[in-house]
Amino acid sequence: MIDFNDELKRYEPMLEMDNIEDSINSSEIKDIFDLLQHVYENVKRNN
Amino acid sequence: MLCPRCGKIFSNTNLCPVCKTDSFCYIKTVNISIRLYNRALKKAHEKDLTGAEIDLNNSIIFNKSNYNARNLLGLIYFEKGRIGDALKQWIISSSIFKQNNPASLYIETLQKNSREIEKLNEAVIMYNNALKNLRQKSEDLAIIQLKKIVDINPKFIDAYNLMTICYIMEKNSDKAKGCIEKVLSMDVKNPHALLYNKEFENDLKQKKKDKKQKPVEIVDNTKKTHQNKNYIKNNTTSAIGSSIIAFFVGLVCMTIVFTILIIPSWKDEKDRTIADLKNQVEKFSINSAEYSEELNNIKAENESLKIEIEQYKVETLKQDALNKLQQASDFMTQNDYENSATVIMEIDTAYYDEENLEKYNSLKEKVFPRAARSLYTKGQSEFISGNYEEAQAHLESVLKYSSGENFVDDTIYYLGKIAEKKEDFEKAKEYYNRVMNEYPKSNQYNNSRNSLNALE
Repeated sequence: MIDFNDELKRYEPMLEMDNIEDSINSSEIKDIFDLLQHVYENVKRNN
Repeated sequence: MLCPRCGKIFSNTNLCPVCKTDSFCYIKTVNISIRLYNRALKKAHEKDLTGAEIDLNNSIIFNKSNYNARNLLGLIYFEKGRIGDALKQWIISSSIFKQNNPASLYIETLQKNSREIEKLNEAVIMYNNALKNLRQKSEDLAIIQLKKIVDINPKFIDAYNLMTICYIMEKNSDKAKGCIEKVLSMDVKNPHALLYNKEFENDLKQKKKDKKQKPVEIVDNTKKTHQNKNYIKNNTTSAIGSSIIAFFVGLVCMTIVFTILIIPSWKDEKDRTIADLKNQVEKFSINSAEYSEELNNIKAENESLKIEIEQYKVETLKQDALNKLQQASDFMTQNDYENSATVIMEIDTAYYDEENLEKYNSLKEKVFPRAARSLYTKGQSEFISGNYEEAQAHLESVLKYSSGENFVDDTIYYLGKIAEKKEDFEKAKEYYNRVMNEYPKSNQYNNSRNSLNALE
């Protein structure tokens, strides 16, 4: 049976157009490669 | 080896000496990103928007510079009604790759249709508000907002999903089903819609099971029609019967409620009213008893005051009588017997004690004869002068004060004459007869007889 409250938790508010700029500026755009680079540099530093 | 990032050619290592990029890892991640993008594209063609969205997000995680993935992701967001997210991806994409990037075209298109975009953005804002209302348990308000959203943007998938939950909570399965079908028509593998659909199917199966387990009323197939009719007839009859029973049950319940709740409160109210009235009557009785006592007191006081007044009156009259006695005495001292006699005539001897009565009598004995003499002299003089009115007044006073003096008969005779002069013959006859009867030896006897004969 569907639990209303549990199901409702899966819904998140959406990005409004007025907040796009803040959203782009606040999020650091990284991908897995950046993460690997970061790990690689840490390992290298430690070694 | 060519560095995929900066383009430097190097050998004997995977690490670029210029930008320090591990080309092996880099290429791997880029390939993964591309594969995910391709899969997403396929899913998008198959209308699996949610699946495509997930893959594209993952594609970007592996390679943030995959602008194609961002463009497609933006497109999918736009299709689902998430205008803000779509614009975000296109802006980032156009910043990564500026030349001949479809994202720039998309952004331009949005800028040209600003009114439409504003409406779509309003729908997003309303969606966020509806979500807030639902979390605050205002389902009715949320449904109204969600309906408005789908009017503005009929492709707003998440709005439909939210509406589905609301209808399920309201047990409105038809509308919920409608929303689910709408979502699945736009996004075939939408997880929310699939979950809700599954719940519906489970419910249906359960209901079918329950129906099968119920005992069948129709026994024989040959009598199916007749029994169907009977069933319908019985159904109608039983419906009417149950209505009647429900009516009587309701009546009984009302009576019970009335008896338990309403009548006692009425009774209490009446008791209170009776108690109030009793109090008022008691107060009134007390007051009236007080008033009657007061009245009695007033009456008694009134009586005593009356007695006092009477006493004062008596005293006043007594004093008046004494004053008059004194006045008469004073007149006598001044030899004014006529006035003294007048005052004496006014005295009421009832208020005199013995002493004063004696004084009065003594005074009277002294004054009256002298007054009579004086008045007779005056009266006679006036009669002779022809002043009959004055003579009459004096002579009548003589009769009041006289008591056997020798001029009384003359007085009566003169009065008879005056009456005759005034043509009051009856009066005159009276006087003449009086002289003749009371004073037969009077010197006025013959005169009176003659006068009487003349009149007759």
